[in-house]
Amino acid sequence: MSRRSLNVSLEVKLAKIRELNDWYDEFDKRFPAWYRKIRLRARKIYEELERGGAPICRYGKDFDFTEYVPNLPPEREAISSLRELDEVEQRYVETIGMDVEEERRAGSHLQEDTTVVYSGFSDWARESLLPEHPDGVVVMNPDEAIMKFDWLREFVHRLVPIDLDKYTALCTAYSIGGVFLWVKRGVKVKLPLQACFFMKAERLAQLPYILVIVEPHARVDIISGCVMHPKCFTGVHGCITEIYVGEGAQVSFNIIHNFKRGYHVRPKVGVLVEEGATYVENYISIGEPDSAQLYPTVILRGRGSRAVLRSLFFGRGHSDMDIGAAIIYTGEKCRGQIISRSVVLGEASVKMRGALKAYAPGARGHLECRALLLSDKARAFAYPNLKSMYPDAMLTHEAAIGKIEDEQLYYLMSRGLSEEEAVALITRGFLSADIPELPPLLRAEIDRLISTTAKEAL
Amino acid sequence: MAGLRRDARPRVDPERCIRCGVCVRVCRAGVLELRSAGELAGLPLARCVVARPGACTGCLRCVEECPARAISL
Repeated sequence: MSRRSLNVSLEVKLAKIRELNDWYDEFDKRFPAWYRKIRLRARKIYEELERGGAPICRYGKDFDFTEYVPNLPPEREAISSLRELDEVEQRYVETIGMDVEEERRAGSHLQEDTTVVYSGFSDWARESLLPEHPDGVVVMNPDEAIMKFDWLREFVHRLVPIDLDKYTALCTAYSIGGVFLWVKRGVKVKLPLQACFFMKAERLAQLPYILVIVEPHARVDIISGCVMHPKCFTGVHGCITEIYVGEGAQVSFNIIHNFKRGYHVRPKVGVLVEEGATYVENYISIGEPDSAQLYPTVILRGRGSRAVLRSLFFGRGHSDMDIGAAIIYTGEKCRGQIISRSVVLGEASVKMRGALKAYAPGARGHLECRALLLSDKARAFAYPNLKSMYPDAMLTHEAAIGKIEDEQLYYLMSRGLSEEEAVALITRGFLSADIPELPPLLRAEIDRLISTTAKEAL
Repeated sequence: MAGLRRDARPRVDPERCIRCGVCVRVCRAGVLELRSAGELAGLPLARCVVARPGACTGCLRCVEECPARAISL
């Protein structure tokens, strides 16, 4: 491309950004001054990065964000139950682990495009959790929470640096909706809360913001699923998630994505873990997005805190997946584990990054990246990264990339399995990185996917 | 040693700081401190402050290690 055409395309982009900014000037009027200031700063950073500024981090494939629309006006009326979704929608949200009947859930939150259409507690929560702790769990649209609780200024956009890259800047500047979850001291939510981000509009950039504050000694499991309607073909899902885990609290955060070709996925996660607390994250992607980039960063700041980050994903078609995770140890005697497993088919490219950085004594950690290549044109890269500033840290890693060995296949086939069954069995074993509490429908979906990938691989 | 400056003073940008405490851990001169600023929703609030600016040797370790690029000298 010539310099002249580059300049023209930059001018076109900047004009679109100015138009977007005019709309957001009006939209942001509802927010308190401190939040507007953050958004304005993010806008400036985003524009600067579009002009060629240097981000902190350059992971993942770049795409032109200005081709997408983040500010779609709300279309759908609020619904009173997930059962009001039509049959196709129900089937799609179930593939990402949502329980439409809410039998095994404490509550649900559904955002369609840019509108939160449903947010409520299940019968179980109303009968057994809320009578005991009337205001124990707060679930809200973060836009409303920011207007209502001024003290959130200490927590909002404090963990994910705005200028980390173009996508963190634009997600901060243009986010609409999302979830604010606040679990109060000592409240143990025994069943998971589910949040679903459903995309129904074409060329939509869905940019929710998720803020989770878990007070000391509380416990919560979250299932956050993102999927598009089958009638859509292109879109962007970008999200900033910030999670604060108080002293002795336990949080598990499950992200499940099912995006098809034509989608770009950029979820950014920052977590701060206090003394003796535990944070567990599972990322599962069963789709075939054009590109996905994820690099959740957990700061173990409290003494004796713990984090486990697992990711399990497929690279199919022409997907470009850049999936990583980092744990930063600044508290003493902390433990961390990162496990990443991927199955790569077609002409997909998978990058697996992992970093354990020990800045405090007594750190323990293990990092594992493994990819199984099931086609000749599939590509995988592993970048394990360990850093220790203290001699007593114990950090280990293992990385492995390879295809299924013929000997394993012949052994299974000699026992009466067809080649397809043998490939499926080995893949199933490879992906069985024990994830407790995997919703049964999602497990079935992964199983179905393994069977089809085995067919595709042969 | 090259790169060391007697007049160096680190500055922490409070808007960028993610209060992780990495700089406090890597500073060998004890210049930076994560100081408690009370509690909100049961979570400790911390502020990264330049507690002993005079002790700074200008080694740049804090600048290099800060994951949010919040420190400048």
